[in-house]
Amino acid sequence: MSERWHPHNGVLAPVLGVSAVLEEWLTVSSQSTVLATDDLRRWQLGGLLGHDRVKIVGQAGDLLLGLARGIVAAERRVVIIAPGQQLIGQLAPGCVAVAVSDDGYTAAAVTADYVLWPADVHQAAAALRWALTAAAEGSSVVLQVVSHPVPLIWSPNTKFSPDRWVTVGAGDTLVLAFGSTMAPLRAVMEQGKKSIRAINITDCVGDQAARQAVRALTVGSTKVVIIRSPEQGGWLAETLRTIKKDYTDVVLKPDWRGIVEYTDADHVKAISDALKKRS
Amino acid sequence: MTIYSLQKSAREARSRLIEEHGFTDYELGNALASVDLIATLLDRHLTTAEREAGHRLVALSTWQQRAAQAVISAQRSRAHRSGRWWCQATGLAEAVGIASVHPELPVWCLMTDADWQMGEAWSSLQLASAWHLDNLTFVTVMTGLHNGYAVAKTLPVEPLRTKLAAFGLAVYECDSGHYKTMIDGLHAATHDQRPTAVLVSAVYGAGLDLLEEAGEALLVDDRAKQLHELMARP
Repeated sequence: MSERWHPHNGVLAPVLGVSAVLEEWLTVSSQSTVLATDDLRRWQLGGLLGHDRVKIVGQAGDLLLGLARGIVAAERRVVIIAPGQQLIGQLAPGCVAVAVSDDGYTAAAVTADYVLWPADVHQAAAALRWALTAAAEGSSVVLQVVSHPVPLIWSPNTKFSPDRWVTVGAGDTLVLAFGSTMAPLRAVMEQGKKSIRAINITDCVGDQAARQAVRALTVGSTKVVIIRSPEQGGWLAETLRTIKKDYTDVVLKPDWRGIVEYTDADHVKAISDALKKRS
Repeated sequence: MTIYSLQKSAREARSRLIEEHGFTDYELGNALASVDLIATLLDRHLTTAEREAGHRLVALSTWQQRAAQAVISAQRSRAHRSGRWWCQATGLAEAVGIASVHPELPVWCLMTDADWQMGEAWSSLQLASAWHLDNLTFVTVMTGLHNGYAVAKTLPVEPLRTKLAAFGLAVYECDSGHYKTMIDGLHAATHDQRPTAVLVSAVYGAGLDLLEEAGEALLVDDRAKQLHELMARP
């Protein structure tokens, strides 16, 4: 295993993404509770440790799902974060579990609804935000953090309702833009490419975005363009490569200072060229 | 309620249980054994006002839950109309979960002696003790029988008092045949500064001679057939 995909390196970024959202959630909602094994210390999530609504159960991970069921029965909201192999049993409606598989494998005792790609902070944060909303509406969601890339798990039990699908037809171009890359994309669209269906996928869960892309590509006549920075969206490109689907990958490169200036004219041109090429 | 009224409501609850469910399950005997305790608990610690204030009952067994419903009907309580005060759980962890987010509210976990055969029960106790959940009380109805067999012969849980105390719980014992001991035991449990266990010795099939005798025979001799024959009746 290369150093890049060392288990700890792989899980750290998504776990940090999850942690940032949880800290915010604990501050905003007085009804929130986080349950975790003491692996939280190993992951060095200092911002969560010490909070009075973050409950650490040591290594008694086999209790987590039961405790969560009780917390939901007590009309509180709960997120579990623990090694995947410790999450045994059925997740109660209204709960979110983040199963972290940092053992070099992808083993988890619970079935993951979504896989959080290694080294992607943004996708993890967006996924958890979505999961919290879904849980508040009564769903249970398992997010799995894996330590190295694997093809996404295609589950027939999709948690997304059909209205969240983007309707793509013949001749459409589906643009999947990450975060602030929407800015130069918008500039291109304002120049006359209004028929492009652009989606800011940092607001979606990765699984959904990948499904949209794959579905669009499977239709045959639809084109897919991914616009991202080097740190974002690598998981999606990797997935599409894994399943041998054709797409255009526009990576907006950082300047000599290591900064991606999204309103840069070069970026607008790169996007424009990619769209022209595909349309 | 006076002790006489409690006994009267327990008798009525037993009739309801038998009438509604018949000899369909071995756990009917444990449900009948739990009725006196539940009647006392509901009257003294889970009154309508307390239930509305958020006091909780967590039942581990479906049959104890049925017993609670029968007692509620017998006591003509309006609690069953607001269903949030009780829930059926699959394990002790759920009771620990509830108690941990509402440390100010009493949570009663109703169970039988066989529930202590679960490993999860003991790891939940460790947590209850470590988190100082003094609002949590595990009330165990001890008949010594489960699913038609002696608990001691299948997987012994004794010495339960010693084990529970070793896990940091305050332990009280009482007898379901003597209401005064139950009232005192439950009262003491609410005033202890630790998670608490109340061990209630009870007679399997209490109030129904046929079941009582069959259960007693099985406790003495694990080859006794009366109980199994009773349950096999069409």
